[in-house]
Amino acid sequence: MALKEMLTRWGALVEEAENGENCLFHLRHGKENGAPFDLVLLDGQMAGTHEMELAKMIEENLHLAGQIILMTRAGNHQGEMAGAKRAGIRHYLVKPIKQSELRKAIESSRSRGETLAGVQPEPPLISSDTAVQLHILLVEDSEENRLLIQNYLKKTTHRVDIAENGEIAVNKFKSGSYDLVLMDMQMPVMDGYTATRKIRMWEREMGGESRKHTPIVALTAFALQEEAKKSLEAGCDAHLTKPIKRATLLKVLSEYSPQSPSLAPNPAGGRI
Amino acid sequence: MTIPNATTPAEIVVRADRELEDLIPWYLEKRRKDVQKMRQAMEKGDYEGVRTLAHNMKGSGSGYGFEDITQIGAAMEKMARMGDKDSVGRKITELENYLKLVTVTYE
Repeated sequence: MALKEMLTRWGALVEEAENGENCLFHLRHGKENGAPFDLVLLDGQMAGTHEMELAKMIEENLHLAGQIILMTRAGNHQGEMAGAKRAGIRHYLVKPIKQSELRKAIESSRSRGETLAGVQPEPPLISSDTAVQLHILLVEDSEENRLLIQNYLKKTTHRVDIAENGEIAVNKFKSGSYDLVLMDMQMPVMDGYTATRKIRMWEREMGGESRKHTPIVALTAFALQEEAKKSLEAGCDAHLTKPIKRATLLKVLSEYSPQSPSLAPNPAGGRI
Repeated sequence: MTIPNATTPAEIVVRADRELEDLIPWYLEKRRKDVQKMRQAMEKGDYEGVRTLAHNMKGSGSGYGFEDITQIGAAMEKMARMGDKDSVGRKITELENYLKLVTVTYE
């Protein structure tokens, strides 16, 4: 099975790059647009690219420490281990890559392994009843809060799409299929109150059958009761006060997750 | 002769979530840039520019473990809304000093 197909089946969003320059472009673009990558799978035999130099650049510029998996050919890896470690590579796979080994390497890299081999994963941050994949639309103009929430969710099975203002959110909502919306209320271009009202209006226009009521959780920097009331009046189902804490967010998500503990946790639920 | 200010701590230690270790240096660097941006905004009398930056600090600081940044942002947002130049200036200096003194341990 092709690598991309395998990863996509596990729930990862995958971008491919044919060389080092293209790889760095994707990584920078993702970071600047609030959709940073969680993992890099680096081919050790990429034409025209020195993988160790590239890994160093990824590490130095994009702070993807420990999130690079080097794919190398048999007989080539022993001498590379020391260099790989210096370049920030803590995980490697020998080609041809087996599905089980790839999965194990992803699980190890996502649990912040400290050594090249034999990494013990950290305890999961999610309980079994949250091992459900919600497709979430995160509407937030602040890069700080987008990255924070994405960080909170990177070890969960949830998938996150980003909208930087209410107008983008309404368009994405109409063309996508989301289980939950996290909606900042104060944003430029179109605020969260207006966007929520537009989403609710559109759901009604669609007849309520093809489009069920999607939960919208308001995120505001106000602790005032009237702000909570105002967001509920606009059509939000719940309200969280920023800054959002990890436990608070995961609790809210578990409240909106269908109870499906039989679903296996997904190691690749992220952007690769 | 300079008398050291006994009330100024040598460093402020903040304990942060290890999961945020990759993001925190970036987050603090952005706040250092905010100090410059706020000073430039104040020179132009752009209180709305200061208020927007302060609002973002208020809404993100303690999420990263920096409760003081949330508090400074909240106070500065109010002062900028009132157009209180002196108070905003003092808060910018407070933020600048905080950023000089803060060190982070991850757990």
